[in-house]
Amino acid sequence: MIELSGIDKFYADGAEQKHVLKNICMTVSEGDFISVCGTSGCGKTTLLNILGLLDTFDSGEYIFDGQSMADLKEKEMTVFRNSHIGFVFQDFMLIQKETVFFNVALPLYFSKKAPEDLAMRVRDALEDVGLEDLQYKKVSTLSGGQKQRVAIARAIVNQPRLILADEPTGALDAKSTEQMLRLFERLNQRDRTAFVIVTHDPAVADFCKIHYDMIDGQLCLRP
Amino acid sequence: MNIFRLCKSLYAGSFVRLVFLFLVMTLSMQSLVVAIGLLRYHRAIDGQIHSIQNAHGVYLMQFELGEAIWDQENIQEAGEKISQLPGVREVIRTRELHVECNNESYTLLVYHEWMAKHFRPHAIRGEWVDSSDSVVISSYGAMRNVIGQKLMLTFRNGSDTVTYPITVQGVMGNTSHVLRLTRSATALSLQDLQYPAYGHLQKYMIVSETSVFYRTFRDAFQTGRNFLVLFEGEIPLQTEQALRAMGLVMDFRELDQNTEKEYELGMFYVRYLLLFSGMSLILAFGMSLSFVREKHRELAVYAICGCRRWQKKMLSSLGVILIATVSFLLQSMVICFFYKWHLYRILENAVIAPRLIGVIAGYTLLICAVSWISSDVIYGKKQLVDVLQENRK
Repeated sequence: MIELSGIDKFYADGAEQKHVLKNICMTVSEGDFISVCGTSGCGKTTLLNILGLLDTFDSGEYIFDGQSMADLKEKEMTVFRNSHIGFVFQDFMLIQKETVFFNVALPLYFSKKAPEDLAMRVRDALEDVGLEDLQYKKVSTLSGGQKQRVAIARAIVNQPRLILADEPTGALDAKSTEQMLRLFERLNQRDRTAFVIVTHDPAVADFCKIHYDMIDGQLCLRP
Repeated sequence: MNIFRLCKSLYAGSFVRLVFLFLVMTLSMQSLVVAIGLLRYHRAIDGQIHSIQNAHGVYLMQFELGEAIWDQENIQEAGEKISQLPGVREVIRTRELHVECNNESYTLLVYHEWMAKHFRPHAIRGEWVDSSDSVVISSYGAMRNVIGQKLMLTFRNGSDTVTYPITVQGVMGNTSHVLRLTRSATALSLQDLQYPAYGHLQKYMIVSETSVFYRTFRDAFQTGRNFLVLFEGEIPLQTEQALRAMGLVMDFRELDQNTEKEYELGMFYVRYLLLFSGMSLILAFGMSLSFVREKHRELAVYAICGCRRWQKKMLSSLGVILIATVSFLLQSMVICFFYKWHLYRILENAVIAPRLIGVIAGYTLLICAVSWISSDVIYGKKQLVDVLQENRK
């Protein structure tokens, strides 16, 4: 499904150029459950942003379903991201003052879904994460675990083929972490959705089937 | 996409905050304008600041001859009596006041000594008038160097014509504050100062014929109840007493003391208004940045969910329209309060003021520009990735 080859990324660090990602090669297939581990600042979030088309790369090739992502214009990238990729962040990235329903429906607002279809899809996504009873609650009133489940529902509502999670358990307690990982596993097995989880928590990494380590901008597949 | 739903989500919850923010900003701007207005109100224009400490001399005021007391014949008689007083060179009862020089027509503005001390326009060439035989002319009127030239002032005094020679001694700059003076005087409730110039004629100047000046004097003289009294130098005490006995003289001492108090009070207000304006502007700017930052975060969430660039721009623009509307309404309300409390004359003295709509539109534009600039400079160039990183921190 995804092939990254020879990806390099530089950031300007004052007058110098910082080489953040060095010759990254990675393959993500349908149904993969991948973890990327590494210390803070090693470049794993940058990799995730490139995978999610939130950031650009300086050299190399990114192929998604046989299509080069380097050729896409910004507008096409947005549409592609909306329909193929879901995101889960450590800080949830939810609109706190809005309801659970609104937050989950956001990606559908931008993909021009009919209102009936929209409501049905949101309901299904909330059922998947076990929050169907809380759809009219304000996000600000929910617990951390519930917020993360809202974020997951939002990530899956458009039935993406890839879900990218950036330290998804960072703000959760052990019980919520366990529940969230079980949910990921279930979605992965049921829908064959690929997961790439960036984490520095070994317990989360152990839950995944494929393990990558990011060391100083270089990605290594753990045997 | 339901754009209204998204817009509502972005801005509806912030409405009260937005109103508060712009209320603070509006008050800040308005107090700045009032401070500037008060400053100009109490100080001379063209950068000259004149102390009013020495303004305790006795000055003559305009002659208000009530019709009940003075009919046409009495006016004539009074004019004759005044002309016989010591120091009086000429008494002119006139309906029109204009002078001719080199076949060009000017309106004559008679400059009161009190005005000359405190509101003297800056002489840009030559010198300010120092005798009753000299004039300064406006830069507009002085198309060529006329310093040293003799002008013949020609008045129509009833059926007679009076000619009076004077020498051009200087050219002055902006004279618009003379008009302001008459309005300021009214604002100070010193109604008697409204036409302070033609009570007696000690100093003169010629200004170009602007409609306002012209109208002011024409209206004043058309009443037919006024005199121009030309004095030689200082007004002798005997003359002053005689005029006072006729009920034609007003003592300025008390008036000046009041003015001094007004001045001190005005300066007090100016200081605190400037302080308030500065502090509230800083507060408003901080609130504005915080608001814009929050909106950018929300728009970042939208972007992750598939919001396109033009959609983001549209949502931002709707926000700006909302901001402009709120701002416009608040500005209008504040200015209405100014009018309600008759403070508009203070506004008129400010740098930007004469036209209400222009003022409101100007403020609105300024406030929107501040919002836009802060938004664009601080957050507009940030990539989505930067916002995500900020959120992680």
